[in-house]
Amino acid sequence: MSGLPLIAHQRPEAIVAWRHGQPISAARFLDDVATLAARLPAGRHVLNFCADRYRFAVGLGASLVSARCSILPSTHTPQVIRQLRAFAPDVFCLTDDAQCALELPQLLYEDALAASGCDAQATRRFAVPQIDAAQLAAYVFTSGSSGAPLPHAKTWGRLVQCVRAETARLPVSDLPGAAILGTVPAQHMYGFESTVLLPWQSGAALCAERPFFPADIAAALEALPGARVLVSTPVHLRALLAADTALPALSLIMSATAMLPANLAREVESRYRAPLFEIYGSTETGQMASRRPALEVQWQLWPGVRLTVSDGHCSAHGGHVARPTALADVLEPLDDTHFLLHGRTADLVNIAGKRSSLAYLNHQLHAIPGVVDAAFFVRDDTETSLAGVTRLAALVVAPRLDAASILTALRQRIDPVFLPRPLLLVEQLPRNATGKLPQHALRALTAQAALQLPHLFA
Amino acid sequence: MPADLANIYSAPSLAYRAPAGPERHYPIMSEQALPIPTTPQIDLLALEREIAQLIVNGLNLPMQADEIDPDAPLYGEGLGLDSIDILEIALIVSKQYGIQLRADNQENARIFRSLRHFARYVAEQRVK
Repeated sequence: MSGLPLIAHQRPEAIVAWRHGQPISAARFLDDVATLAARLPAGRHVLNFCADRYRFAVGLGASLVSARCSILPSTHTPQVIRQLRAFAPDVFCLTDDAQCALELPQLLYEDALAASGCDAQATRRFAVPQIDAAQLAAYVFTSGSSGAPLPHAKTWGRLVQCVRAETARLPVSDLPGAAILGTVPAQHMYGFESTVLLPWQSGAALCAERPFFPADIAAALEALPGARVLVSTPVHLRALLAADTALPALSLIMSATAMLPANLAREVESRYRAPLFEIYGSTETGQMASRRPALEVQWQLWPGVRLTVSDGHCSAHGGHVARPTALADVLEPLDDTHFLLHGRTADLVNIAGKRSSLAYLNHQLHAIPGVVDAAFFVRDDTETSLAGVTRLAALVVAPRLDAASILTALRQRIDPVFLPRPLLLVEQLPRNATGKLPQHALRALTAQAALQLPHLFA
Repeated sequence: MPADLANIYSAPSLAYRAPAGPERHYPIMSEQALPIPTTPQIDLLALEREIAQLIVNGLNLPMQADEIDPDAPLYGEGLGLDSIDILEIALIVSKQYGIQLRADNQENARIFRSLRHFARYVAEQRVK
């Protein structure tokens, strides 16, 4: 077997994490990993739900050293949890929330680690575990368009190859005592790679906290003594600027989940005096390209990754991307290693980093008893959002239901960020002769409904 | 907190755990204990209306400001706001009243309990 180390940190006292302002050493981390691994239940599939990023990392480490597979769904609605149980009947949930409501067998992190966590006991010889590159490390899920979550298998070797390429591209390992703070959760593919695997494989420290409000981000960064790296999104970066938040010196800012407009990128760079790199990737491929949007429009691929375009559809292959993988975006290759990104293919929606397709959302809406016809669509009139988030709307034909009960049913099925605003009940949808629903007809009907019900659009 | 919000961009779970049932089941901090006896009630009502209007406009909510139940939870069920909305509200009150919301504020459960509680918090904390 060809083994790859769990972490790049080579000395027991190297800092692998910061938690509540305290450093955590590599020796202590590996102790926690070993302790937790010995206490995991028999199931081979772990849904790691820990919100504390250090605990997530211990859970992931324990899963890897015991050859268990992590399950990373894109959302945790009751319906998705049922589908995951069907996919992997032995799945259990590792959580640090004593009131976690997921309907799975649960292991509470604090219970499993209760007897450990003492540096004085770290008498084991310091040895970084080597994980077989071919080992299945995780299934990451996309929502799929047929209604069932779609699994994407990730081996340890491919994950490591991907973030090592990221390490080589970004100025992370040169930073002395770098600490990486993320506003994204570890369970999201971008957060998984850039806030957990990147620190592991670059020798930097991860941060347990996941700050949310602008003032939280400032406080969490203040608590870090070394070079600070902020892994974030356009939503949070826009919020920092909108709230005029002062931050301590930053060495590097990263953004992903949605395209960052060049003017916003320049504003962030000049306000916070740090280079801002944007990452391109997908759940299917992992991260695969970067650019510095304040200075350049083209993206540079990770080494070895190549693009092919046929019939207007783009796919990626090579490097850490094991087999040709279709991309949901419209990419225009410039040469072997650079491309332009022209946005998403029409059916896809991305709201604050959560991805879905109109086909999937429509499927879920149609599946509600009493719904006769229905369609989601993207509004083009929500320009008031300070954080720059555009929501969806939906028109529904359901003579015996009201909007509130449809929303309640929908909440069980889809992630709340996709809940329509508004959900309008209409007599029929403006389908054309072929049964299709032109987006402009949906918007026109919404505008018309808004005229009849002026209070819907205050 | 609804489990499905724990995944991405949601506030830390302790901050916004919405009550799972009617309020009376919870030994909440009593309203009488709130330290604002000097604020005239009439100003609070005006501020409540002003904030409702800012929220409805800022979030594109499909309702009028006076349709917000001042006693319904802002987060999760009730008004049905999610974490992105809460971030929008944070930006609105930062801009309008100079208040910086924090996720580790022990009082968040109270602050977001309803529009009325939120308005009271703004009245206490506003610097402009």
